[in-house]
Amino acid sequence: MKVNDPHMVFNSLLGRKLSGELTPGEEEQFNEALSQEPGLIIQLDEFRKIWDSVEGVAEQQGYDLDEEWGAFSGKIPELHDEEVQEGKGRSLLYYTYRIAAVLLAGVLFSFAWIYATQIAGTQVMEARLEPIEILLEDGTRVVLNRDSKIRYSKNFGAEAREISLRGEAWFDVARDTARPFLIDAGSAMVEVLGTSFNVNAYKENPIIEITVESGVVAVKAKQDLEEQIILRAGNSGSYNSSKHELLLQSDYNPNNFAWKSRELFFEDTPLVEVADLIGKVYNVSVVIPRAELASCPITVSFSKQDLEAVLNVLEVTLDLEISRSGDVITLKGTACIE
Amino acid sequence: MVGIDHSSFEKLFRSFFPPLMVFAKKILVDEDDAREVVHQVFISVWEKRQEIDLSTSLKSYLFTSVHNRSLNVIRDRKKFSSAQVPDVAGDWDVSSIIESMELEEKIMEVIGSLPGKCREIFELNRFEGLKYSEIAERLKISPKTVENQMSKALKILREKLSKYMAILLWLLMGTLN
Repeated sequence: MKVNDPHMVFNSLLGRKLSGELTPGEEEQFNEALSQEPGLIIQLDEFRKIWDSVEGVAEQQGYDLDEEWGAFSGKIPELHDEEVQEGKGRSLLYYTYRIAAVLLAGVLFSFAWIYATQIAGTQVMEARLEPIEILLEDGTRVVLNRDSKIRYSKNFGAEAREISLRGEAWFDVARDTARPFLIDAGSAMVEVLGTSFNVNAYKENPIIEITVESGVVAVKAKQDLEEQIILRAGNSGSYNSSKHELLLQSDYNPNNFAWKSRELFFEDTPLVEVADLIGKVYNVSVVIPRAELASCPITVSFSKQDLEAVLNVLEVTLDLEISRSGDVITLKGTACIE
Repeated sequence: MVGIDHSSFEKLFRSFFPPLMVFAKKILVDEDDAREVVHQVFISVWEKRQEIDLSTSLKSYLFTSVHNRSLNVIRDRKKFSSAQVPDVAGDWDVSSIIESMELEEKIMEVIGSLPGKCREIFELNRFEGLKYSEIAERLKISPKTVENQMSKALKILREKLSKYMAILLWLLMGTLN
């Protein structure tokens, strides 16, 4: 019986071989595979070269360009004077700027996609640990959830207000029928005239979710802009980029706004779903080791309460044992166990 | 011929600062020295902004300038320091540096095209330096899944970069000499 196919051993251990994380025993297994199949030695060599080149890429990513530009531009006083002049002699300078930009686009074309977030004139707002509220030039209010980012050009364009979103945000869009508000949410586009709604487009999630509080919103797949779904107040819609599927749900899930409102509603909801939402709203991770407890249904609602109070209610309702270490909260108990 | 104005200059800085820093650091090792050299080069671009023709190869101009100025710094180090200064200058061929940068862009592109989870795991390992076990813990997945996704990422990289493999080999042999 052949226990280990050398190709299988090679494939499964390769990554950790390259990052130097193999245990001595695995190292032996790996070398064994190489000696059985000499072709793999050449493959290993190629993989190592790719691995090393990625190193150079990683190094370039370590610079904070806003900081570096700030430190550098301080050395050239004219850079600040020039800015003022630009405002005065607009037409001519604007013209040269456009030509220069077009040419530069050629020179920089291959770089653009790496550093696109840092290109001048483009505003990037990012919320890391806590949600932030942003007021855009046109009066639109955006509340940006944790780990989320929006990018837009400062004054928007004359024809449309375009903004791109990675992560999750709630929008209250100022009405401007002449310039529709367009959100690039990764694989989907969301178009609005003036309304408030929530878009969830974290990149690790193939499903982009939109929930509308008021107004009308159109959602399109970037792949096929012809097809769209129209969402009205109270609707939720989603685009699943792995299935290329636009879906309209008429039932409104107020929990989609919970990260912003801290209003949570549950009706016969399995505890694990409650835990997930609490995790998202309060930026913790809630773990339930026992499957029986995880599927235990609970009906409860919370309105603008702090985490402590929420946990207390759960503790009393299901007779839980709650322990906390850092951001990890563990729920234990015998509820729903036969 | 078109000169450079304020905003195109800032774009230029933001696009080229990272690769030029990495290049200068390869020669000079010291981060502050490298930053100083890169700043000097950008200052000289700014001073000559009316003369520089953006339609010519600015890339090669920038790298060549960083290279030359870095060698000057090494020369000065030797002149002004009584201590033994290690010779880190090496033999840098600017055109091969530019080619390797283009390859790095290609690699970034392929990484960017990896499927979501696979890409996230690969980036956590390669860019943020997390070990397999740490990634498994952070993403609450099994170490086996991390392993599978990493080998998937590597396989895709090798497939998509096969065309560039020849130049890759050639470049790395160059750095070994």
